[in-house]
Amino acid sequence: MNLEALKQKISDLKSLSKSQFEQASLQSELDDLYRSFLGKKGEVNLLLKSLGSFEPELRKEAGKLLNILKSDIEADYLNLTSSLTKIANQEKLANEKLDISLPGLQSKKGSQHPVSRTIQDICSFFERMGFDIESGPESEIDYYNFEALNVPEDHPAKDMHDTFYLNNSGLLRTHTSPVQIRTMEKSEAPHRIICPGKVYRKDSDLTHTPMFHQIEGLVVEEDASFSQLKGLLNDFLEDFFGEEVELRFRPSYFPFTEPSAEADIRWNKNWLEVLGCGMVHPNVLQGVGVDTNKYTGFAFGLGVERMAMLKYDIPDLRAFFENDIRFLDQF
Amino acid sequence: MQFSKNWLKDFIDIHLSTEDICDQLTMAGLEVDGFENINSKITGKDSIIKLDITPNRGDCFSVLGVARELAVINNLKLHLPKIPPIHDSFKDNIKIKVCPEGPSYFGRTLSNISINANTQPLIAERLKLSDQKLIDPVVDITNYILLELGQPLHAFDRETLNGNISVRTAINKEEITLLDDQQVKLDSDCLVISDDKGAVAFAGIMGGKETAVSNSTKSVFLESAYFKPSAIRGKARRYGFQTDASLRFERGVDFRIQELALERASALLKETVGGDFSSVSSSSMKNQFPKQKNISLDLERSNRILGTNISKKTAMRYLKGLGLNPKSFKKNSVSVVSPSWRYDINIEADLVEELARLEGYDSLPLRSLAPVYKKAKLDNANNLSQTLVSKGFNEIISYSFISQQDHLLFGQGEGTLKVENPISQNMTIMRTSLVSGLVNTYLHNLNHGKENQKLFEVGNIFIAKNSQKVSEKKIIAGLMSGKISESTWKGKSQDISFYDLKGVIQDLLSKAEGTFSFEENNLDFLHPGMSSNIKHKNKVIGFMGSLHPANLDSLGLQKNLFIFSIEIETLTFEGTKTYKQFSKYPTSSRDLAFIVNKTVNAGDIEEVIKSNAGKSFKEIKIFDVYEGQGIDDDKKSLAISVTWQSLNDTLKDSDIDDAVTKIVNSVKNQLDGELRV
Repeated sequence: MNLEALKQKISDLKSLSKSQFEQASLQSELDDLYRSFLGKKGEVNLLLKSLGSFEPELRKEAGKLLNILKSDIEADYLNLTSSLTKIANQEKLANEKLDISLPGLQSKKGSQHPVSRTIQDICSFFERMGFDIESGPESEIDYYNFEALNVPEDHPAKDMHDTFYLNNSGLLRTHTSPVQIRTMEKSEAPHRIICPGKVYRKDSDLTHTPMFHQIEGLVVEEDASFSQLKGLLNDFLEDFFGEEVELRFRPSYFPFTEPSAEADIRWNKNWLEVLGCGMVHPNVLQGVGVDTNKYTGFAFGLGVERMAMLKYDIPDLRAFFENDIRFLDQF
Repeated sequence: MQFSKNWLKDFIDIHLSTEDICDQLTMAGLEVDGFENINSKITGKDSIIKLDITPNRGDCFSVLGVARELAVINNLKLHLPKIPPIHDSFKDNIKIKVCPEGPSYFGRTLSNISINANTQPLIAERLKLSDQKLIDPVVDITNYILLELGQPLHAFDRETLNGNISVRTAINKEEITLLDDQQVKLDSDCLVISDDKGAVAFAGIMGGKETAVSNSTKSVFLESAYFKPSAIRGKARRYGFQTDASLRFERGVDFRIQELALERASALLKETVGGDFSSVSSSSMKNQFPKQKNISLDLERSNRILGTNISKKTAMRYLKGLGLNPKSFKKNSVSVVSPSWRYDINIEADLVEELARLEGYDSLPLRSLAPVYKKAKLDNANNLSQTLVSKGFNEIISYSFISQQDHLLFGQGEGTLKVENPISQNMTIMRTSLVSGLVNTYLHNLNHGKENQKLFEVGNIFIAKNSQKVSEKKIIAGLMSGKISESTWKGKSQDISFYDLKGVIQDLLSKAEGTFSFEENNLDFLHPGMSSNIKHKNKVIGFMGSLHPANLDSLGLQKNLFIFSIEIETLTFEGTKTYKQFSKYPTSSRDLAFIVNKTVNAGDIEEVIKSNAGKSFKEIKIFDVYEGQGIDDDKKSLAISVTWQSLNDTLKDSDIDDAVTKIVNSVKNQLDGELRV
């Protein structure tokens, strides 16, 4: 073959490859064509093998021409590959349209009981104020539930607590106040404690359940005062409800506090009792060996269900213990 | 207690609206239950005020007591009723003997009375407004005095009394039929009024039937006595009732008002039933009257406790108004004596409350408490709860007392704690496990169409070790039933299995310190082949499993209920986690399938492999369990992937081959397992 014939052949191959490439509609066809030109047994390789028949001085020139042909075909192949990919992607996108309005696959959420959540909310405020969380037994003895709290045997104040008695001559605690006594017995003043837990009273109607939850707080410090008690409860209620609350304190009676008070908040125009509190009665402090010349104390107690009902707008107390999932799922 | 507002005007010149009066009473600590405005033909424009008196304020169980409070608050003068003198026309020779528990007694006989006369209209109206039934003029007047002055009176039919009157404690199991026909056998700590024949009244509580006034009564003996609170407290309750008299005596009545009350009653009776009045017979043991102690008030300390700045002058006005007879101030201290009607003023703190009350609790200053740093404690229950909530569990709270039946089904352990006075027979046993609450909640929700449920509860269980000692344990327990998740448009979910339950437990315990093991348990209410104990440091701390088919049958359930229970306090949780070096060299894995007897547990093979896999062993995963075609009936195939990795270099194939050989030989020797090829 002379150089002219080779040039002609190269020119033919170049246009042939291009026109054939352009007719390929699939990547696999294009790849086959590519191999038929540039593969081991492809046209270009055949020509390369024929280089031996050229005069040595022309061989270099011919090789150069063939290399240009090779890279030209290569370039055409890449160009067409990229446009084929583009077309394939367009088709893919056209076919892969989802109904995005179908629901996502969520996992079912669990829920914390509103009473537990409320206890946690309340305790977290008092923990920030430096209170320790304390707990005590629910099956108590008269001493801790009444006597140590300045409620002697047969005292009419016991009528305020409809007590459940147990066959071990104990009782179910009627309030969380026994934890005050147990804590003051086992550790020295000063104290800042908060005691959440279950309490029991023999009472069952629309607004009472025989078991409910209380949170008791106690501060015994060198200068604990009634004004601090008022301030603390005011701060707490604002923290709990997340807004300013109108709060009112009025005298009340608890055997274990003196002065005693009840606190009401303004709720839908009416005053609603939310907690009981007072300065710890000296008899209580002296009973557990606290030096009343050095320390004064204040205590408060509140009903968790009542607080949860207000915060979450729950109308029926009994919903808390019915545990209907339609209720629980809302929290 | 309820009463007509206009009645107050007998004692104080008050012109406030009912609303204002109620506000004042509320803010003074006398809780107002409510009030109702009325128009009475007799008392005119009036209101019925209902009070809920706290046990410390026995003195306010009367119109006089309430008026006295209002007088102090409004700085008004208190008038006692004017009593026209009674002309006694004869002497009844009845002798009276008191005792330390009932140290004061006044009595008088009224003879030739007209028992069928009408009670005065004003008194009748006021009694009606106080929700008192009208009976006869004698009983009506005694009720009236009780409401007006707080002194319970009693009238005996004089002709039924034999000999003299004594106040004494009951002779053990002394029997008496009371006014309301109930027969009681009185304990020896109960106080009675006795004549020469025996008890004629349960003193301070209720009169006897035999000596009661009837519509044929011609003469009465009126009693106005003082009984100590300690002698009355709890007595009526012991016999299952409460009366207006016992309510007052046990809270304490004014121990100096008896004579006045008797005179007042006599004067009012004179107006209606008429008749002849005897002179007053009385007896008292003054040294047995409540002690009126001197109490010292340190005004400076009071001001510090209240955060107030009450002046001596103001304090003096309050103390005088309350009838505390203050002497003059010495430095910051003043000495007072509590009045005969206030049983709740005994120590300085009681006086501080009086100052606060009159100052107005609402006007006391308010000061924030300064926070103090405390190290936060980890809360196990909270930690575990959060894990379960994130896994789709709903937290429930159920009652701690359960029925005997539920206890028999789902109880644990030997001893139980019982409620002596349960509110219902379904609430008698203090639970020894949380299972029944979970199962009952499941049933409630199932009845409302919820088939897929995951529930948990945190609560105490009560184990009675012997008749006295009870141990309470805090438990977290849960229940799962139905599908793993709700079905969706993508397809249906699988039924929850034992292994889903075990997975939950393993996740729960993954954050806890120590290792946990699972072994067979023997709880009656669990399926013996689908349940396990949970052990921690060789101590059983809980259980899990499917409910026993017999229990499912009795509950009428087709689907399995999976239950777990763990003692919370036995767990400890890591505080701060520390970083552990991981290897940067590649891992090598080999999949091995062994054919073993069905009785061999996967856990057994795991143990053998772990202990023979060499030092670069990393982890083991069971990826298939197969029984059936191609394998003998008593065999199963376990496909296990074992992975090795070294911290220091890339492992050589030959090392792994050696380890595999050792594993295969050990499984063969120890478990008779064949490598499946």
